[in-house]
Amino acid sequence: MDMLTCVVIEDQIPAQEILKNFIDQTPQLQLLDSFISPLEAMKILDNLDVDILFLDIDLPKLTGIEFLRSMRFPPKTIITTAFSEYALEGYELDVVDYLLKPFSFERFLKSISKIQKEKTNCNSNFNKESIFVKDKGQIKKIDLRKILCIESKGDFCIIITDSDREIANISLRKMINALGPNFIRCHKSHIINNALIEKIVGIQIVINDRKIPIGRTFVTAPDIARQYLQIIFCIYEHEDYQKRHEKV
Amino acid sequence: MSIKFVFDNFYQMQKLEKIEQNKLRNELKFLKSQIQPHILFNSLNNLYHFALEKSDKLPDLILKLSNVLRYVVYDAAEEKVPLNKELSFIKDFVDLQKVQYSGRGTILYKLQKEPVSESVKIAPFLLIPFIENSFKHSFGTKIKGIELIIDITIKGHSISMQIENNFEENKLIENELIQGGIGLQNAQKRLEILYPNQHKLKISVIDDKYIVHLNLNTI
Repeated sequence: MDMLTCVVIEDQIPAQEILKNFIDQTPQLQLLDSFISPLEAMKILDNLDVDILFLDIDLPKLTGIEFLRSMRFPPKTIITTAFSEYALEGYELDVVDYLLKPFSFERFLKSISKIQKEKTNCNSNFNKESIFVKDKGQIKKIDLRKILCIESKGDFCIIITDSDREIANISLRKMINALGPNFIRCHKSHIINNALIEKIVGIQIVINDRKIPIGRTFVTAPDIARQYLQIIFCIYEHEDYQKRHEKV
Repeated sequence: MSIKFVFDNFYQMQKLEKIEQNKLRNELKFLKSQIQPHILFNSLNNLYHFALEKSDKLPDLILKLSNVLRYVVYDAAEEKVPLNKELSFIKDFVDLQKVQYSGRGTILYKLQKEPVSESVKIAPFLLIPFIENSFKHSFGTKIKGIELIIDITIKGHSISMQIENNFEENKLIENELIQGGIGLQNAQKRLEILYPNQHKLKISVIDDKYIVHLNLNTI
């Protein structure tokens, strides 16, 4: 897991100390700097890659809300305040979380894990085009768009592309985490490329004439159920598209 | 016809007066509740910091906060309270604020008094809005180098309070200043209702200093 860089904007020194202390205790977090006023923080937020901004609301010169509004690309922001009445406004500004002072270390960690989840879900995998796979002393680059499906064989995975098969020394569980949102684990021992599904016949997915089973538990598990629905939804969308085309 | 009109008018006036009185009472009630909850939660957060650090400062600060809370919860409901109580409330309030803003400037609190008799009373929360406002004004417009002086002198039944705070002009915070302004206006209204002709309030701005001078005769 990459380190998450943080900046604190808080005008009360004891409150700053609490945040510094909590950040220190969290191994994944790295504090870049802390400021009393948003005006002081502008430079660092413009120039450095900041993952998390801890932002108080009642601040000198400019309120946290005004500051957030003024930023075109704000970092993931966690509002820390004693005012409960700003929560709604905060959510409108798309903040990750709202910590009411005083808050516990556990509550603080909950905010952080929210960000980590979001980050693994979108940031790191969203624009991924390829993965690197280690096998027999060499590292191979595989284009994600060419992967049809991945099958597990014990501790190994077999990556099946349109023209080849690669063996990777990695478990299927680790593999799904490394892939982008286009990939679905549809079975205990199968991952498929959502974008290449041709059709679903009963409880089998067909990709490039290959039939891949859909595991019962993977249909009912909440996450997979959603993804399964997504597949169905994609199919409907596709049908809809075809129908519209026929009309034209 | 005209008699009826006059009578109606008189009746209307009476009604209006009643409404005005009610309004005044409500207004006084509203103006009284000056300490905002977030200030208390911020104070609690400061204590929380010292608790995490296992600091020796904590017991004393807990006592100060409970004094402030007691005053807000119980004494504020009274019409008049002993001046001594209001003064010790102010002292504790200022001390808590000092902790909150440590490292950003100096806050001086001076109180000169001979032993004040318990019979000297004052409407609660009368002085604090001016003090609160000076904190807001300084710490809301300046990052560091804050200088805030609160100087209170008690002689018999009369109080003289001078508050001086530096500030920075900034268009970005106009909003906040207007809010601070409302706090001050409310305090002034309350003074006028409760102590008409018994007080003198002078607010002046000299360079970057905002100075409030209040003389009040509590009898």
